[in-house]
Amino acid sequence: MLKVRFFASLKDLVGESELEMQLEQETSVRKIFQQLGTRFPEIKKYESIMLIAVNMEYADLDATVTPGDEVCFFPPVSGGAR
Amino acid sequence: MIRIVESKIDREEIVQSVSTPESGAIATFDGTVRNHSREKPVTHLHYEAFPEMALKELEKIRAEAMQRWPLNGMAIVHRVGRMEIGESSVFIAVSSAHRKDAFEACRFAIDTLKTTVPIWKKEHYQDGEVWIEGYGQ
Repeated sequence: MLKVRFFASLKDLVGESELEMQLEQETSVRKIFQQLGTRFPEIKKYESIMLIAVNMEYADLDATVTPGDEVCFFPPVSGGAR
Repeated sequence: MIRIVESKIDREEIVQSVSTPESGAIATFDGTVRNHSREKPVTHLHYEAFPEMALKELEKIRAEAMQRWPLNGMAIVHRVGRMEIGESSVFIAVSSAHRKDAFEACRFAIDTLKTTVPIWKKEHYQDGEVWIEGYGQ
């Protein structure tokens, strides 16, 4: 299993803050995101701007995930004009 | 002191936490809720965090600052949930022997926080609400 969490506007788009996905073997965050994209097409527009964390460390789409990991997808953080 | 809190930020407590006899300066940054955004009146804000990771990222900011500048202390407290106009959403206090280091490290902390710490702001208006994500970056 793989735990997936969403925050802020991504959470609103998906409609839930977390879900579990079947995962038998190592894969990439990109594959996970592609699977999520078929289920929640609207999240695809976040692909180039979203931030990714695997087990609470920043990662990218090429990062590896293994069963038991936690993957989080979230929009850029609050920012603010300097 | 590195905290994510849901209640009102206690500025005095944070300043006290970095106060040491060796310090000749305490620089602070107080991020407050503004009543307008992009020419639109704001009624209130809502901050959401990924708290476990936000705390880790805040700790990293403090560790890096303590390494880069000769500081005596750094405290960062971010509030989450609903906040009214004028209330503090984030408060940073930095102490050092001389003011230059405290000012620089304080600036570094808030600028870095805004890009690396997973906390998001939602602005509420009379007629709706919108997530502010990476705005200004």
